[in-house]
Amino acid sequence: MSEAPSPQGNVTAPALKQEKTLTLSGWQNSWFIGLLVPVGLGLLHELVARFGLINTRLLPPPSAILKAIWDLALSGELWTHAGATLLRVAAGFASGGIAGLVLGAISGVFHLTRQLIDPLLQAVRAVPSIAWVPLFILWFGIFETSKVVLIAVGVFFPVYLGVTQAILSVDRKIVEVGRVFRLNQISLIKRVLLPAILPSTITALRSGLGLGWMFVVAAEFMGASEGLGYLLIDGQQLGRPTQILAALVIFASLGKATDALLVGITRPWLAWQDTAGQSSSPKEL
Amino acid sequence: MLQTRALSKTYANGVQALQGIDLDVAPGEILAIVGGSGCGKSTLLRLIAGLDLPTSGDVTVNKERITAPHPSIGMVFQEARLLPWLTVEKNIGFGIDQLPKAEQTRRIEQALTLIGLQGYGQRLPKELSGGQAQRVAIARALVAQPTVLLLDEPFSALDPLTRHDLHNQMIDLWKAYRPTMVMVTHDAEEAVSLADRVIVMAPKPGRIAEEILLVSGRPRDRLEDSFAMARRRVLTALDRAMNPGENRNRDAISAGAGSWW
Repeated sequence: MSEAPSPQGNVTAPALKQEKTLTLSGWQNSWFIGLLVPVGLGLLHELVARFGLINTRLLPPPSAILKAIWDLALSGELWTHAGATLLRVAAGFASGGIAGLVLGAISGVFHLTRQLIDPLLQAVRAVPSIAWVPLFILWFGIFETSKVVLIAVGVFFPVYLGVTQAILSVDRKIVEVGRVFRLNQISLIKRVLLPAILPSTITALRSGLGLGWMFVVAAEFMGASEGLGYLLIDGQQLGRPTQILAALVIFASLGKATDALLVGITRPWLAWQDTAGQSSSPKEL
Repeated sequence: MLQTRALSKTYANGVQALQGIDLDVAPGEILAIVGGSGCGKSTLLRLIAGLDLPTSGDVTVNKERITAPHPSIGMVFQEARLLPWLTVEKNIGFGIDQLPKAEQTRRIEQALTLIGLQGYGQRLPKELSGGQAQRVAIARALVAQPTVLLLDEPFSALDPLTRHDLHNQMIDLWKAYRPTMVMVTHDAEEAVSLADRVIVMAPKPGRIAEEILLVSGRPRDRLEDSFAMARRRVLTALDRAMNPGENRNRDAISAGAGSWW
C-alpha cells in the first residue's frame, strides 16, 4: 500500500537492520551471555584463593564448592535434600497458586466480593509471613503440612493481587469490541478477558514462585531433617562454609531453573506482546 | 432504514448530551456528522450502536428498535482496538466465528484483498502501522456484512497522507459492501470527501444545527472549486453552530456561497 513512504525509512532502515544481525544478534540473545559475569567472578575468586590472598576456610573457592556438590551428588544426599525442597515448593506453589488464581479472579470480577474480602486479605498480607510459623506449628505440627502451608501463604498473595489487578485493568475499549459483536459472558471471558490477563497472571505466578523459594527456607529452618534449608543449618552447626555455599548454589540453580521452566512453558502464549523487553519486531512498511 | 426519533440522552451527572435528534438515513447513504467537541456526536453514535441507552426517544433499523448491539450494525472506533493476541486474519474474523469455516476464510481473504493487505493474515497487530491496523479494524466490521456501519472518528489518529489514502479505500470498501454509513468526524474535508450529506451539530445540549447536501459522485477531486466551496460551507456552518451570534460577516459570505452552490 502506498502509505506515506518515507525515503528515510526505505534507505536507512534495512541498512541498520543488517548491521544489527551482523554484530549483535549472533551472540547477544544467547543464554550463555548471562554466564559471563558469574563464571568470570568465579575464576577470579579461584585465582585469589590459589594465591593465598583470602581465607579459604571461611570463603572456600568455587572448586571446593563444586566438589562439595559433587560429593553430595555421589553420596545421593543431593537428591534427597534437593528433592525434599523441590517437593515442598511444588506443593506450596500449587496450592497457594491455585487459591490465589481463584480468589483473585473472583475478587477481580465481582465488585461486591472484592469489597468483602479484599480489605481482610490486604490486612492479612501485612502480617510478616515468618510470624505465622509458631501458629502453623501448633496447628499443623512440625512436619510437612506446616511447611507447605507456610509456602502456600507466601505464594498466595502475589498471585491473588496480580490476578485481581490484571482483571481490573483490562482495557474497557477491547471489552467493548466484544460487546459490539454480541459475545455472551462465556465467550467474552474466553476470547477477551483470559488472553488479556494472561501476561500479568504469569508475572504474578513468577513472583509467587520466587516467594515460594524464599519461604521454603524459612519453613525448613523451623525444623527439618532433610531439605536444602536443613543443609544450611547443618553446615552452620558443623562449621562447614563449603556445605552452606553448596546449598546456596543449588538454591540459586533450582530457583532459576524453575523460573525458566515457567517462562519457557508460557512463552508461546505471550508472543503477541508488544513490549520493549522483547527482541525487535521490525514493522514492515 | 436507519431512523432516530426524538433521541435524547442525559447522563447521570445531569449533563444533557443530546436533545431531540431526528435522523433518517437512506439505504447505502453515507452520512457525516460533524461538530466540535462536546456536542454529543460520539454519544449519538453509541446510542445507534446500542452500546448506550437513550434517556428518551428511540433508534430503529428497518423498523426494528435498537436497545443493544445488533448484528446488522457494525462499528469502527477511533482506535483500531484490535485484539493484540490474535493474528490479522483472526482479528478480521473475530465477529463471524459462528459461520462455517470455509465461509469465514472466503470472507477474510476477500477483505484482506480489498484493504490491500494480502499476505498479512498471519501477522500480529504489533507488526502493523496505524493505518494498516485501522484498515484491519474496518475489515473486521465489514466481514460481518452489517447493513449499517458506524465510524467514530475513524481516521483522526492518522497522519494526513495515510488519512487521504484511507478515504479512497473507504469508498472502495463501501462500493464492495454497500452499507449505510454514519461517520462522526471533526474534519470538514473528510466529511466533504466521503459523505452524501453532512449533519452539523451544535453543543449544549447536543442537537442538529444544519444539514448540508453534497453533490453525488465519488471519488471527489479535492482540487476542484466545488469541493473547496462545499468544504467552506461545512466550516462556516460549524462556526455558526459553535459560536452562535458571532461571525456575521462570514455568515453573509456563506449565504452567498450557499445560493451559488
